[in-house]
Amino acid sequence: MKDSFNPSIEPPKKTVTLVSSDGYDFEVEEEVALESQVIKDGFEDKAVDDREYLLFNVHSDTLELIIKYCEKHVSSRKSISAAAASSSSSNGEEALKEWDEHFISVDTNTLYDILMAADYLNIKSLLDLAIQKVADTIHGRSPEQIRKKFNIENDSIIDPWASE
Amino acid sequence: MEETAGVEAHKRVKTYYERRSECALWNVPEDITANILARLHIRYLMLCRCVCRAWRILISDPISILMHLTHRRTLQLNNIEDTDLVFGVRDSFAKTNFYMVENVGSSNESVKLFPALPSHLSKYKLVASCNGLLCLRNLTLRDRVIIIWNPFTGEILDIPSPNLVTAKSVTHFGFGYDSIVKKYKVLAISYPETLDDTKLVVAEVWTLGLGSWRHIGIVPFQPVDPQFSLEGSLHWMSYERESNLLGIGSFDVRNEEFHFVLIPQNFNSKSSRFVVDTGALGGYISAVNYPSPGLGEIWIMKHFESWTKQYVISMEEGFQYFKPLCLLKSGEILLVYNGAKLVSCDPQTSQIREVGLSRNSHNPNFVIDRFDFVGTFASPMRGGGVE
Repeated sequence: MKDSFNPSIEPPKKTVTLVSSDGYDFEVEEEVALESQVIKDGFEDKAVDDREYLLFNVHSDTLELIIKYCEKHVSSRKSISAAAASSSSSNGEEALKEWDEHFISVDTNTLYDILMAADYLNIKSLLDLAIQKVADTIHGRSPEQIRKKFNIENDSIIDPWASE
Repeated sequence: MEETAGVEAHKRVKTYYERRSECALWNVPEDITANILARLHIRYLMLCRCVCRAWRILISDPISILMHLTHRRTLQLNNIEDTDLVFGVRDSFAKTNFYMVENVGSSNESVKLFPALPSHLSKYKLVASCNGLLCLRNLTLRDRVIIIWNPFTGEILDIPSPNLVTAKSVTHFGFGYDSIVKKYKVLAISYPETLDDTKLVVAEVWTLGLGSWRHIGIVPFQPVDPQFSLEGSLHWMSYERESNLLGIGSFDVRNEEFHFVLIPQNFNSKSSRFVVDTGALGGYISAVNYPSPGLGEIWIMKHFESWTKQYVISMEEGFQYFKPLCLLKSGEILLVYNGAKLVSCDPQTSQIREVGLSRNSHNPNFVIDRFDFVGTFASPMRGGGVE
């Protein structure tokens, strides 16, 4: 029975359907969807056959990015632990960090959407990444530049930076 | 490639935003904004107060102050970010100026002068720095002997003289933070000027936000040096009262207990020219031994009363003694050289270079008090913590 562990005859992976706020269906692998703590919690409560999640607060454009992030993290985690098991040196974590860096290098609106979606879906590592990105963006900017960058209304009573 | 897919997706998001461009953006929940602001260095946080009212209120909120403090401390303790230091430098008129040196020893090091204290005629000595609050000792007035100052908010808290301090006593002060109950405490250790065996070293504590000195008992040691702090405890190089041996006395801020450990007995004590120096290094208590001229060994105490020789540093001619301050992000050790110069030292090569204030100063002999510093908006008035 040598072929019993042939990956090609592995049963098809379980999938979950995520529905975006604008009504698009995204079919993803279960373990990818479980990156979200909210889905994970719901999954444990629900009956097994209910595999559809309506995400009222996440637009399809954002959901696509979020799924991409989760897929990448699930697959890299596997390859990192595989490398650790075979005790071969790998720069998997470094590479993932670089990938994250590239992933989050987006315009402010997208960053805002990712931030809100990561908060809503409770994906801790992504939320942390987005928050750090916002903090890095604030670094070295004047209050006026920060307001402009993030579209924040200036309602300060005293604004020492306002021009006369 | 995966990356190109990301760019395409982000282009589509842009057009989606153009469609709803009239929407007010950046309406993130308060806890997320607090988390973002907690990651900022105090110099950026200062500017963020001017961004909008919501941010200003949030930045001054005790819970966000605490969050910011915790985050910044973690970054500095793990050497993820460069160290900031605060200095008290006495000028030729014996007036003290306070400086903050940001990113000590790194390429973007900068020196900033704090605004002068309102009571600028008084002479102050920097006793300690803790979480952005500076504890200063007033050397002019005897009745208002200690002030707690946040140089970023300008708030000042006056603390009266401890009850047991008389004109004929010597007092050492300490300032620390109990991170469990979130309270700041000022400690006063006093003993009579002419110390004989019948007289005792006593301690009093002032908890910020409570407002009175509290006698806490007898201290088993007599401090001889300024305070240095490790997580949750204050330390001084001291003589044990009973044996008169040199060691390190400490005060546990939370339990208000005193401890004493001896420095290694094989330290060279014959040469009186060299002074044993103690401090905190990399989260451990350290002590410097000078086995022969031009050579300094840094010993650290990793476990209670077990000392390890960690670094051996050979110094050039004219070297007398040094005091280790902290480890830098670069792996170098920050030292005070001959009691005046601030240098960073590569422990492998013993190569030293002048950093911070020393780099620009023409006077090599200025007297400095210095402490590591995490700038925050902690308020001395509200007890510094969370109500």
